[in-house]
Amino acid sequence: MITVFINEQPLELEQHASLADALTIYQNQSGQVLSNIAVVKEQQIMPKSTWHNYTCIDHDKFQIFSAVAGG
Amino acid sequence: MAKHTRFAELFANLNPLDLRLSLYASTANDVQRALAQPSANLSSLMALLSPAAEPFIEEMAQQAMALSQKRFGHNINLFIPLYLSNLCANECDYCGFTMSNKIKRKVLNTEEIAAEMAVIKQGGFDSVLLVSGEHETKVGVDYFKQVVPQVKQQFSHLGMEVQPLATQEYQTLIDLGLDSVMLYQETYQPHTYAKHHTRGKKKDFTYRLDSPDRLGQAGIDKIGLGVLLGLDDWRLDALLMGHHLAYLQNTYWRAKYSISLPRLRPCTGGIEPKVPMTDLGLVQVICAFRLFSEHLEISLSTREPEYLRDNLVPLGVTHMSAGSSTQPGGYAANKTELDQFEISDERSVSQVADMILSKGYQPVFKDWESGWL
Amino acid sequence: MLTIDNHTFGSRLFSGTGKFSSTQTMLSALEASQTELVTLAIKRIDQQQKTDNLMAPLTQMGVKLLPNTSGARDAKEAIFAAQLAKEMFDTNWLKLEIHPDPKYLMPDPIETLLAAEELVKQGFVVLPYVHADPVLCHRLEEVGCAAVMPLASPIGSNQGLLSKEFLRIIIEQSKVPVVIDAGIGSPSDATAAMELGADAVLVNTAIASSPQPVTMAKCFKQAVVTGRQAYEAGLGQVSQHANNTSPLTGFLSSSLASVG
Repeated sequence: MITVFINEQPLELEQHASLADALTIYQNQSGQVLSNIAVVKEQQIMPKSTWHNYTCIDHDKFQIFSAVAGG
Repeated sequence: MAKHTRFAELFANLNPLDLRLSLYASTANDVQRALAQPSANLSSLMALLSPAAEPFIEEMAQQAMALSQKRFGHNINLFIPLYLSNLCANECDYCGFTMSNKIKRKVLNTEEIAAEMAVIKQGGFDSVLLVSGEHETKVGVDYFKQVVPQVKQQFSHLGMEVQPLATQEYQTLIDLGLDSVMLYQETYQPHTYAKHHTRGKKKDFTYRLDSPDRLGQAGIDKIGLGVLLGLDDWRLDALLMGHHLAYLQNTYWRAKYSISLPRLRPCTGGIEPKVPMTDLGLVQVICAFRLFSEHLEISLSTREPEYLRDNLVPLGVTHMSAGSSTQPGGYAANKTELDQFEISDERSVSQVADMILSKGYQPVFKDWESGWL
Repeated sequence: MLTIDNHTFGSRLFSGTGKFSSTQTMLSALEASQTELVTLAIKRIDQQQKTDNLMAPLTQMGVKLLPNTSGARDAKEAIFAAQLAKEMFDTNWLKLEIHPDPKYLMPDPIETLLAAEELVKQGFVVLPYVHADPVLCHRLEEVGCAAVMPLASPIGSNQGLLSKEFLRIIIEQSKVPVVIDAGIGSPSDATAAMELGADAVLVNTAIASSPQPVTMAKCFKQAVVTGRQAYEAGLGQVSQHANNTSPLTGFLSSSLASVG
């Protein structure tokens, strides 16, 4: 097992889990609906096209951003 | 949004025939509406240039005077043209310098320019407008590169009214001290333009039309537009110049703008105006442009007669030439056989200055010092 | 019709999505306003606080989304927010707003210009929120912004057109559409802004903070249409009275004034 952090919250994952896997698990656990989000790792945006191919490494730190109401 | 980088692109989408019909269909109602909202409004400019505005001339004049005094105070700037050369490789049937005219041709050399400047300086002028015919080899950018620094040593404002140049050439001259360039389209109606410009580089209507863009891109301090009123329908020409001005003001917003409103006058071998312009028409155009743009400089030459120049002082004119000679070398050696056009107001500089004072205005010889850095 | 970067809008009322009591009220108000462009903000997901999915219903309404960079305090943060927005909303449109001042949320002109220049280079359609500063608007237009969004008064203040004279200058000079943003407090403010010649207005707080947001949204819709129509029709003249005598032009009728 490895531990990654999404918005500072720890998340346990199987070895070799992809970023897409991590997001699915995060969604199931948090109850947040993750549509139209952007994922950032170490100040770099992770484009949607890379989510399946990116294999998470222990202690990866991700930030997830989404739309909120605003003027 | 279609963003234009050259006026010619925008001009291609204007329909002068439609504009002309709308211009002459303007009503008194349109004029009254225009008088309420004239600033930067091309529809208002059209109404104010139309025949329907003639009965409103006093109201236009009152507003024009108030705006002019608010923006420019009680000041009239005086300048003088310095004719460098009457060599010309263009055939323009309204101009005394036209190529086929059998007149004595002359290009001033350094000594002759110095002699002219000495006389001009005695008149108190600090603003000079260099004028020449178009001759690329003998009076081209290399010649101007010598003349500009020489003249700039003695005058704080230096303008030019010469053939259109390339952007890079303008930049070079600006670096040498050039402050303003007057570049008159003569007429914005291509067929009429073609009729009067039959030989030489000036035949190229579009290159001339885009010249103010090149000036703007070169970063000139002031751009002067003008039409030769009477070559064609002057109301339409003035309106099209308004479109040009509006485009330039919004595109090259760091620059100042001036307009000149010369009326077609007799010259050696010259032509008769197609559409003569009355004094009323001239007053109307001056007032319409003042109401359109309160910060626009409006220049009036000695082509116009004394009584008219005197009466135009309060109406929006900001710059006047005085004591002018339109021949190269004309100040140091007072002969008249080489004139570009005949002077109508032949008063001396001090007489013109006295007239301005008597109207309650201040004649200004030195407007500002550009070399403050 | 209003066109910004080749996109045509039937409505000149743009709306924000903030400050509504519920997502449903917001959607009903937007529906009533008939707006075709709505702004959204970006935020890091907070695990403790469930966020409604705004995107699906807004997309369903057919409105165009305009993500903003609110929260960015300098050009660097705004550029990063823009890239997030592009990833998130699959749009290159952006309301660029940078306010380092947390009290009045005044936009930073220097950082905004820097960010705008870079974002245009990166292919964004940039609509910058700025103070009603005519020279700044010129500069933003020069670096390629698709429109400018000068403020009427401080964000969310409902104070109306405090910057009217400067807005007038911007509208007179701008070659790109001028969208008056921030501070429009009542439908009459919106009408006045449109009568001035604004291309559109962006209204959020005035609708969202009304006790009846849906009705207020309708009122704004009508106000914007009325103001635009009045502008296009041309306002009636303020009466001018010429003197009976003609002190300035009397010389024209004297015998000297013949054809020149």
